[in-house]
Amino acid sequence: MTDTPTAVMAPTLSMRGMCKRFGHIQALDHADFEVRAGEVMALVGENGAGKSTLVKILAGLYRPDAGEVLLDGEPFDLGGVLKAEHARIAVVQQELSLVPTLTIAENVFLGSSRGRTWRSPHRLAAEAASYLERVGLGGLDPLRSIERLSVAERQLIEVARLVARDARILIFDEPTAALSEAETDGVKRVVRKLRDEGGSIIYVTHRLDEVFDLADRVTVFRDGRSQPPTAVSDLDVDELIHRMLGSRLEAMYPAHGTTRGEVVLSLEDLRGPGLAAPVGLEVRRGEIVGLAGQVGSGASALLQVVSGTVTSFGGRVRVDGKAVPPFNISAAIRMGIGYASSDRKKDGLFLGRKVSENLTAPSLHLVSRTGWVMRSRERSMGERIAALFKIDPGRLRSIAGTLSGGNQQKVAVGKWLGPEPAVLLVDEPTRGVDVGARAEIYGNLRDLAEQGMAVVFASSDVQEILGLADTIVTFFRGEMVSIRRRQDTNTATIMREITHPTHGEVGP
Amino acid sequence: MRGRGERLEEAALAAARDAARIRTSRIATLAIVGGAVVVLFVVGWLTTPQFLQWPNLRNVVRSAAMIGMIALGMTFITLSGNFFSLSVAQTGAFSAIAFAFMMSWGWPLPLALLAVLAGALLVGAAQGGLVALGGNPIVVTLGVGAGLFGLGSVLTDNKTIRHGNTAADWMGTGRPLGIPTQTWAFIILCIIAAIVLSRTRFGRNVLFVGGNKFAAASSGIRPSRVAIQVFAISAFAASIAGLFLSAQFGEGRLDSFTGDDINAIAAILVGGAALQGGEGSPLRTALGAVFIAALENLMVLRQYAFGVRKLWVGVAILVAVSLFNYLRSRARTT
Amino acid sequence: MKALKRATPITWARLAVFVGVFLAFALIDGRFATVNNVYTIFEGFAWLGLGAMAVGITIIAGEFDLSVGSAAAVAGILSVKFIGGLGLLPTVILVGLIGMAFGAMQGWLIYRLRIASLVFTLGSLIALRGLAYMISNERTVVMQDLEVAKAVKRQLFIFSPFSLTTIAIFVVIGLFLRYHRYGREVFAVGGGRNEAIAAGVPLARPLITAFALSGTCAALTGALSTIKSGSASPFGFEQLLLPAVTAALIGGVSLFGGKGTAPGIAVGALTIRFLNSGLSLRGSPYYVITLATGTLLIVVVLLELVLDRPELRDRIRLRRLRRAMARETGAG
Repeated sequence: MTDTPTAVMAPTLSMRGMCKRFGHIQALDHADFEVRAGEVMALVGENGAGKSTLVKILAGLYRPDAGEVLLDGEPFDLGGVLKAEHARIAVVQQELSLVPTLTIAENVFLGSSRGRTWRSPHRLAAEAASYLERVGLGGLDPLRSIERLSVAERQLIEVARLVARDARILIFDEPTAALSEAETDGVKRVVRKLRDEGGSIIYVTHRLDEVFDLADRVTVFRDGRSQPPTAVSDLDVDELIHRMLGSRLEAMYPAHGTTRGEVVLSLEDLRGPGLAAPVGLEVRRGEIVGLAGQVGSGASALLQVVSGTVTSFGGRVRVDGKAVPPFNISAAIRMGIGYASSDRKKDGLFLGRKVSENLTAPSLHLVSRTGWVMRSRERSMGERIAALFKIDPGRLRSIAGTLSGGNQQKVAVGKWLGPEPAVLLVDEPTRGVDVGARAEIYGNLRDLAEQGMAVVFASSDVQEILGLADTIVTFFRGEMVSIRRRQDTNTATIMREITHPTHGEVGP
Repeated sequence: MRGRGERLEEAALAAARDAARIRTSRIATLAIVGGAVVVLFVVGWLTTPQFLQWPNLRNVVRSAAMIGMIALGMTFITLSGNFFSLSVAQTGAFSAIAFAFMMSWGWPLPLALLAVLAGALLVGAAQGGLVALGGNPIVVTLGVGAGLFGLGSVLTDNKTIRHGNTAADWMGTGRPLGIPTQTWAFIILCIIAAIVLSRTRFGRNVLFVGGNKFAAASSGIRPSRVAIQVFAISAFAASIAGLFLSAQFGEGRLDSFTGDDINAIAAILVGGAALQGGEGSPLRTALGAVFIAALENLMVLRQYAFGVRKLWVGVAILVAVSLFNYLRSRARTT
Repeated sequence: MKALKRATPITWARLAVFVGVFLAFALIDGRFATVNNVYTIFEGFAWLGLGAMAVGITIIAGEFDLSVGSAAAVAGILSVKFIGGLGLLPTVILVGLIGMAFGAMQGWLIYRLRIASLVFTLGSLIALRGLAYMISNERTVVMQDLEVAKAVKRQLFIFSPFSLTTIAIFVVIGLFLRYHRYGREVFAVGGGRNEAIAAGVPLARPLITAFALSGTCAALTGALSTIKSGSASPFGFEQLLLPAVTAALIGGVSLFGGKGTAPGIAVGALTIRFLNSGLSLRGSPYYVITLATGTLLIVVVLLELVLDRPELRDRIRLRRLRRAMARETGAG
C-alpha cells in the first residue's frame, strides 16, 4: 500500500498508563496508546475492552484517574472539550452532531468561531465546497439541506467540519457500523487521503477486514489493558482474533439446554429497516437462539421488526402458526411476544416509577379487572417475578431509577414474565451490567427456556453468544450469514462471520 | 426522517434521566405545597381579621373550586406529558352558553347536562386527536380556543344568554351541609381524579406515557389513545365548571372564564407538576388551586391593586417553578 | 430567484394562499385593493408583524415565548410615560432597549435554570401583565401630544413611518438570521438541540439572542402602536398571541423548531391582515375574525402535520401491508 516511513517518526500523541474507573468497573487499567503523523492506527477490542473510554478521554469528555498524555513529546492536560479542540484532536462521533434543518454548508461551519461572522449562504457554500471536496463530497450542493443525505454522507460532512477546524488527530469511532459496502469504501478513501496529507488517524472498529484494509498499525485492548501496537503487516486474522479474545472465564454461563419442543416462532421472508435481505428463521420451544452481530448488522433490527417496534416492509411473523400483525406492539404482546430493547433507559423502564409498577406494565390487562388495577394481583405478580429473577423483594416499592444497572436490567427483562409470552426477545441482555448480575441474568434466561419459553437474544459479545445460545445465527451488514447449532461452531468462526465473512458464505 | 426521530429519542432519554431520581422531590414537593398553603392561611389570619371568617372563607373555597375543577382536568394533560390546554376557559364558557340555550329552550335538566358534557368530551377528544397526530398541544388548543370563542360569539351574537329557568338553581346556589355545591363537586372530582390515577389501568397508562412515552409504547400502551383521553377529560372538567357557573347565575356569558385558564395552569405549576410529565398529583393541584385562590382573596382584602395582585401571582409561579425545578435537578445529581 | 428555485411545494402553497386571499377579496370587494385600504392593511401588518416575529423567533430557537402580549402592554405604557419628556425617537429606542434587556435576561434565566420556556414565560406573562396594571394605575393612559401620533401614522403612499419601521426591522433581523453566525446558531439549537451542542454551539448564546430579539420586537410593537393610537391600556395586546402564532406558522415557521424566515413571517402576517381587512370591509365583527384566525391556525397545523411528516406516509404504507395480510389470511 502506501509506503509512509512510520517507523522513524515520533508519535504525535502518546498516552502512558491511563487508568479510569467507574464504580467497581476498571474501564482502563494502565493502558498505553500512541499514534504518529501520517498513519492510521486501528484500535480494536471487544465491547467493554476500554476503547470508548479512551476515545472519550481524548475528546476531553472524561478525565483519567491516572496516566500522562504527551502531545508532540510535551506533557499535555486533556481536561475539557476546549482543550482537546485546542490540541486539534477531534472525534467523528457515532452519534452524529449534524443539525437536520441546516444546510450542508451551515453544518460544516456550525459551532466554529473561525472565519468571518457575517457570511452569506452563498459565500458559506463556496467556502464549504473546498472542504467537501477534500472528503470526497465535491458533487454535493452545499446549499442542500442535510435531511435527505445518507448516513455515510452525513458522516463525511462531519469529517469535513473537523477538517475545516484544522484538526490533525482524527478519531473515527466505528464509522462504518451502519454503512453499506459502497458507502464504507467512500469513508475509507477519505481516511486514506487524510492520512496521506499527514493527519494522524485513530480508527476504532469492530470489523477486522477494515483493520487489514486500512490501518498501518493496530492496538488491541482487552479488559481495559492495552497490548503493544503491532504493524498490520505482521498479523493475520486468526492472530488478531486470538489477541482480542484471549482465554476467558466461561463459568458464568449455565448448562446448555436439552429440551427442544415444536416450532413456536417462525419468520418468513421478513424484511424491514436495517435488514438488507429477507430473513427466514424458526425458533422452537425451550430453545435459546443467539443472534450474533455487530452494531448495524441487522441482529437488533430483526428483533425490533418481530416485536412490532418498527414497521416491517414485508414477510410474516408467526407465533404458533398465527400471523402477527406488523408494527403493532400491543398485538404482538397479546399474541405472545415479549421484547426487551437494548436501551432500557430509553424504552424499557419507567425510571421515575416503582419497581412493582414497572414489573406489571406490560401485563396491566392481567392484573386489572374492568379497568381497576387490583393491588393484590399486582403485588403477587411482582413478587413472583422478583422471586424468579432474584430481585430483592424489599425493593419492589423503590423507584426503578435508584436500582443498580444489573437490577434495572432484571426488571426490564423480568417484566415480560407477567404476560407469559411464548417468545421472549432480548436485545443485548447484559449491556451495562456487572459480572455478578450477568451470570444471574443468563441463569434466568435459561430457566425460562427450560420452562418452555423460546428465547431469542441479540448480542455483539461472542462469548455471550457461545455461552448462552443453543442455536447461533450470525449477521453481517443487514444480512443473515449462517444458522448453526452451538456445537457446530466456535469463537473464531462466529467472529469471522460477524466481522468479515468471505463472500462465498454470504448470500447475494 | 432520521433527524427528527433521533431528536425525539434523545429528548426521551433526557426525560428518562430526569425522571430517574425524582424520588426525594415527590414527598418534599407535597410538603412544600401544603406548607405554602398553611403559611398563607397563618399570614392571612395574623394580618387580616376577616380572612378566616366563614363568609370570606366560603368565597375562597368557591373560587378555588372553579379554578380547581378546571385544573384537575388539565392535570391529566400535564401528567401525560402534553403540557397544557389553552382552550379550557373557552370550553367552560361555551358550555355555559350551550347550557343556557338549552335551558331557555325548555330542555329537561338531565338532558341538557348530558348534551353539554358529551359535546365537551367530543371537542376535547378532537384536540387530543390533533395532538396525537403530532400537533403541538399549545398551538392546537390555542386555535381551538379561538374557534370556540368565535363560534360562541356568533351563536350568541356576542350577548349574554339569560334563561330564567329555575330548574338548575339548586345546582348553582345550593349549600348542602353549608358548603356550596361547587365545592362539593371540586372535592368529589379531586377524590375521583386521585383514585383514577392511582387505582385504574387508565391512570397507570397516563403516568406511564408521561413518564416515558417510548417505554409505554413498548409495553403495549398507545400514547395517542392516552392523548385523546386526557384532552377529553380536561374539556369535560372545564365543562362541569361552566355548567356550575351557568346554573349559579342563570346565564351564559362568553367572558365568564377569562383568565381562568391561566389560573388553572398556575395551580398545576404551583402544585409542582413536572412539565415533562409523569410527575404530579391531583391533590397537589387542588392545593395549588386553593393557594392561588387564597392568595388572590387575601390580596383583595388587603386592598392590593389588581396589577399588584397579578404581579404576585406571576412571581409565585416563577418562584414555585424555579424551586421545584431546582429540587428535581438536585435529586438528579445525588 | 435562486431561493424561489429551491422552494418546496409547501412554500408554493403558502404563497398561493397569500396571493389567493388578496385576489379573492380584491375581486369580491372593490374597496379592498385601493391605496387607502392597502395602507390600512400595512398599518395592521406593522404591529402584527412585529408580534409574529417576537413569537416566531423563539419558536425557531425551539422554545416558545408566551409573554409577548404582556411585554407589549408594558412597553406601551412605558412609552406614554417617556414620550412627553424624551420625544419620539429616543422613547422608541429606549423602550426597544428595555425590551431587549428584559428578553436577554429571560433567555439567560431559561438557560441557567433549565426551565422549559413555556412554563417560565407563562409566569412572566402574568407578572408583566400585573406590572402593566401597576405602572398605569389600572387606567388607560393617554398621550398629551397627539401630533406625535400623526407623525407615526402619516400616510406615505401605502406605507407610514410605523410600517416602514417594521419593514426595516424585518430586514435587519432577516439579514442577521441569514448572514450572521449567531443568527444561524438560533436555527441550529432549534433544529437539533443536542446535535448543535455536540457541534460546539454554546447553548446560552442562541437562547439569549432569540429571547432578546423577541423582547425587542414585543416592546417595539407595544411602543409604536401605542404612540400611533395615542393611548395605552393595561389590558392591551391580550389577544396578540393567537394572530402572532398563526402568522408565524402560516409563514413557514416550524413548530419543531429550526425552520422559518423573516420574509415568510412577513407573508404570514400579511395574509392574516388581508383576511382581517377583507372581513372587516364586509362588516364582520371582531369575533368572526377570531373564529377565522383560529380555524386558520388549526388548518395550518393540520397541513404541516400531513405535508411535512414522512412518518404518516409510512403509516399509510403499513396500512396497505396490513390489508394485504388480512386478505391473505382471509383467503387462506
